[in-house]
Amino acid sequence: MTSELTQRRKKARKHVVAQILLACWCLYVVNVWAFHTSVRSDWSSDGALTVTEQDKELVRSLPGSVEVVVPLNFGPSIEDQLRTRVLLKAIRWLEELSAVAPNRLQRPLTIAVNREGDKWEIERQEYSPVLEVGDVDQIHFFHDGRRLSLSAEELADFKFPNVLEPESTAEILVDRSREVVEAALRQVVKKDWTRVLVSQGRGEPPLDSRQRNSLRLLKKDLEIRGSIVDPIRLSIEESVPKECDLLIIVAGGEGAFVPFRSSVERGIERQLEAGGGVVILLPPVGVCGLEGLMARHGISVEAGLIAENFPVKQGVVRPQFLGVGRHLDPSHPITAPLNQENFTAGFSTARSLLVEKETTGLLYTGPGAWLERDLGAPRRDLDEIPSPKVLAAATEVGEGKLVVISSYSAVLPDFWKGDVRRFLLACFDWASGEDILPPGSGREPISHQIELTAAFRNSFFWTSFLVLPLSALAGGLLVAGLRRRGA
Amino acid sequence: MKRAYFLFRKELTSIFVSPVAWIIMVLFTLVMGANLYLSMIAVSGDLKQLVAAGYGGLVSWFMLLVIPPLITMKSLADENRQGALEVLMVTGISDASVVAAKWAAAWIFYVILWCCLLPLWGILGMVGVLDTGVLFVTHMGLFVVGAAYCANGILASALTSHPLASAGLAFMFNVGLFMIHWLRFFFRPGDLELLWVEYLSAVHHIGDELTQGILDIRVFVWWGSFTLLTLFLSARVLERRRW
Repeated sequence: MTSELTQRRKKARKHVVAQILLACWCLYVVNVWAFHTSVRSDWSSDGALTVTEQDKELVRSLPGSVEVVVPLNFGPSIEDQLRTRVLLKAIRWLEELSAVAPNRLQRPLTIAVNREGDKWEIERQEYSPVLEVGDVDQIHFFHDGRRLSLSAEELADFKFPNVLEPESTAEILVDRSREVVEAALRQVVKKDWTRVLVSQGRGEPPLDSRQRNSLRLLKKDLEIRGSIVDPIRLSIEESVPKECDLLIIVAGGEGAFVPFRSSVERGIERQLEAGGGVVILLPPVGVCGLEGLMARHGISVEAGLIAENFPVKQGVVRPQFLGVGRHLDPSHPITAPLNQENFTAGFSTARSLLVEKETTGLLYTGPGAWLERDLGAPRRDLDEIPSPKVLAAATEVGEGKLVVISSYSAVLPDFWKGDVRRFLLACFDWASGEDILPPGSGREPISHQIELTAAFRNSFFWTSFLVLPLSALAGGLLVAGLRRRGA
Repeated sequence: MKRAYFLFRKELTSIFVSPVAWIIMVLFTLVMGANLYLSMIAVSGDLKQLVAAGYGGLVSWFMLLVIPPLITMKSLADENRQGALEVLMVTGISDASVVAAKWAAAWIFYVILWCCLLPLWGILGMVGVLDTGVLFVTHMGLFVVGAAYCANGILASALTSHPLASAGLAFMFNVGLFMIHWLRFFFRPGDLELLWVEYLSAVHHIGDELTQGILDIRVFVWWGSFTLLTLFLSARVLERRRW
């Protein structure tokens, strides 16, 4: 009898073990199936993380794996905080896109540089091309040995207090993270990269030098946006190679700039006729030798420099040789996607352009700017009447595209930032036939902020600290009382 | 089924007449209310961020890990110690029904605890625009993760006959599940293992997805299936008495 019971117990134990193993196996199978079958939905009211069919198609169509690295510095200033917020939103969007096909688009690797310095030091060497120490607060995309980087300014339009409006509040005006991230994904996997040539050898700022007066930031930005940037000595070669998509002429430098000869002008004309792009950045004084070419295409340069009055301290204004572009042409492909309302692009020692009908003035100063002919010191005379001045102009020459910028200084490291940088990159993109800037207008952040008045804070404080716990206590006492009465 | 339902009602009633439950409720509303208030100040009144700050922070994780063991610690362990479990077994009710009824009662109480905070959200909704979708999804996540944690509590309670030991064991189970999230530091983006860690991580589900308004059906599959397995194991532990 005892042995039969023991046998039964043994059998029961075996059954239980088998049942438990079967249950674990079922759990495993169900979860492996679920792991590969993601059904996600966005329940937020703004739908900021809703992945559309087009988004899914984009991620699934990526050829191979795209890696994403985001080193963040978490700076303390309000500007840094807003930039970080935009970058974090973009990271969240990338995570959502990554969930569609993790093998195509990897989850972004986020590194807090100021807290994880060692990790950043190791990680930045892991990628090809290697990231530099200063490549923080950017989203870096890597694919097949190529890199493309986006800064917060490319993801959103910001409004920060500046010299002109020192009292204004810092805020995010328009958030374009979704569109820009998707455009960057398309760009980084693109097979044909844009070929950009930058003129050198006639006194232009050097392309690769570490010195202050160089074009290194311009070159770096063009390269991380998917371009191959090389120098060209127009005075020697005189013609532009066929494979060149964009020719940039920075006609100015610290030393004397030697104007181009007419043979160079003919070479540039051929580049335009062949459907290439040309961007000319003008010298502060003198001629660049391309005035004839510009005039043939409806753009001429006025003598003198743009000057404007700027506040230096409370109540005191001083005229300076600075052209601040505040008004953009709303319909041109270059300027339409840019922030139209709070655009502020300062050009030091800028010339004023005159444009004819078929040419578009892209960027204008405010009505307070005038043309100062006395280059010793800016001071508005009675005959110098203030009016909006044209700082940049663009025209199409058959298939080719020509853009003229009123000052070469904008591409120097000290000025290559903010709206100036965005505007010029948009000009380069348009002239070279690229379309990295998103056509969409982005979205204004929806505010869920409530006003924390003292009265509201007080009432919420007492409700959360006292009313709710006391209600629970009263409930408990009531139940205890009822029980006692029942007993 | 009818017996299981009666047992569930009895369990729920016994929870609500127990002073421990009301003490838990008072402490929960006090701590979580204070947490919401301080989080609201920290995010400067941004209601969308408040959901993540209030329900994805350390305080609410502490509550999530501690409350279920406290609710469930007496459910089977106390009855086992007092010998009431044998009495229950001879009524003909199955082990699975006992486990399911006790778990359901504990889980309902847990859900009610979180619902106690809704008046605070109601006040916030009166003065600002509340993202109800995000709030709903976050609560769904808290409930489904809580279901698994309550099931852990039932399993721990079935394994011991001392309520405090049961609470400690359940807390360890819950912390073990919670700690899965930190395995992600061993992997790099693109590793399959990292995706699995995120699949199993409650911190990822609540902090990165649900409080952002993203509802992934996998969250329900994982925590639902885990709850079922744990309840199944609890029933098998109870069945141990029979052999």
